[in-house]
Amino acid sequence: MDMTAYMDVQCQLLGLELAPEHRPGVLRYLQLVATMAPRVMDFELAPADEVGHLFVPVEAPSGGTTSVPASAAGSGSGSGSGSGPEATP
Amino acid sequence: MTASALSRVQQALQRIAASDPQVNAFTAVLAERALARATAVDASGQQGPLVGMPFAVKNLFDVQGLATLAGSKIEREAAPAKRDAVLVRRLEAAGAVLVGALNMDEYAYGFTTENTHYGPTRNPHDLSRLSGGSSGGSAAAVAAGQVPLSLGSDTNGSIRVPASLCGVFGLKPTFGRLPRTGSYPFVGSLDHLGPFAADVLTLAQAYDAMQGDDLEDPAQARRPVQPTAGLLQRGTEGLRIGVLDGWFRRMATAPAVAAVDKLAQALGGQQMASRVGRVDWPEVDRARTAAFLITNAEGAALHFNDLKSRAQDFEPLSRDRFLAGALLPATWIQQAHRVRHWFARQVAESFADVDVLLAPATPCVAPAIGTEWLEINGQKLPARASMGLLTQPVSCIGLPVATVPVWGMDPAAPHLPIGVQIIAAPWREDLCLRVAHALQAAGQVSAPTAKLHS
Repeated sequence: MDMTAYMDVQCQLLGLELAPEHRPGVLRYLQLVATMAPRVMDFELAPADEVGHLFVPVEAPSGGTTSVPASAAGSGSGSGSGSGPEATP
Repeated sequence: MTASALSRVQQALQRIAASDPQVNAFTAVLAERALARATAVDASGQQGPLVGMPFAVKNLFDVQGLATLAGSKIEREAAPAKRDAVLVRRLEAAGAVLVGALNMDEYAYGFTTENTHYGPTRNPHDLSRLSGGSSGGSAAAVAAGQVPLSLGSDTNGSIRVPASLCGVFGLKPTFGRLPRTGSYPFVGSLDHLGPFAADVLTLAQAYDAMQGDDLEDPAQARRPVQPTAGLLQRGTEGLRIGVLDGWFRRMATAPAVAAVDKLAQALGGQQMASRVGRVDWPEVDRARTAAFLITNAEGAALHFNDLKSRAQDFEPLSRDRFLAGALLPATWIQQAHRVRHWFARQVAESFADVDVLLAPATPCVAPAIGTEWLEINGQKLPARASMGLLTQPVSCIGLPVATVPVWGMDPAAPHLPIGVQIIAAPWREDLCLRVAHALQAAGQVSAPTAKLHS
């Protein structure tokens, strides 16, 4: 694998211009990461092995035309500083 | 009679003035604010364990009126924060008094706090050695006796590594437990915030004061507040203790392994009456690789605009890593996330048989500042990245960890501490802290103030 060519193509795609003095370090690090990546890439996973992230849809702000009436919304109204113990002495 | 907040803050400011020229833990000392706040606390008559306690925070926490540096030169140009970070507000609501902001690796990408812009933070127990990082200022400030309490962040080990090298107690709570509102992110998928202290009770009290939902933080888990300080006296009797085997012994030097064995022996002894066994997690090196890849790509994406327009202004020790991280194939990163979750499921099963697990926090005691290479397990490894070898697989899956300091384990450096991670299942910070407290009470672990000999 020609990592220099890969680095240059990726930089071009991203519009990232590497300073000449940064190129050797970036290339060295890219090569290091490339030696590590097979540890995750060659590990067999099933389609059901998902990333496990849970995206939480963001509710419309209270007071908006589509918001749940305040009486039914539970917590979440107020200034947004939550229910933590933040009162000043 | 307890000393007034004002006298405690004055004492902390004096200690900082006297010792920071040697240690270099602080990047800002907020004397005027702290003295005014201490006076107000004294006048309020407020009661509680944290009332009047001086504390300081890693400079990635927002402090009203200061630019949030996150260890960088670039953020000096940022507008001053309009408000304190949520955790700062919560500690001050409990009566603690903020006295300053602390040094760190730039943008938290490092384990050494060898910060080129602000100078290295030196280990108070041996000023020629590393404090660890990226929360190096936070650990060193406690070790030097400048403040009894500080806050830091931990993405891959940045609370546990400096706690280990500087010989203080640290708590990395479960991922998602404490709100990150008002802190500068590094890797949103892995960032945790938590406290350092010179004793376990203070650590627990500070952690308790910081719990609770913050609706401005979209990444915080909605969990009930679960106070821990009142549970510390329950001790360890009947707890099942596991010593992590495999990777966690292989990638550690003899002093690090000896520290774990010393604590395991104490816990299994008659006085502490725990059951102790060995536990081996599968595929730990793959989990560590997953954390490494996610960190590299996500951190680079966060700073991409600055990397594109002003790479020369980044920390020279991490700039090339950041640049390389912007170039990684998306498939590697997505696969890394899937491996991370697979690993979390395997580890969850291990907690059916144990309550708490022990592992070294760092492979070795604090190396000299400027160290480039370490020898671990017969391999020559880059020192800066390798300090997180034993912490990364644990934070990768968000488990709570208390780090406790053990002394005298390295015959070549008997004056230096090394930390042991006390790891529990998600949301069981109480168990980590109970074990840490029992070990402290038994005299097995401690965080003495450094005498600051050079």
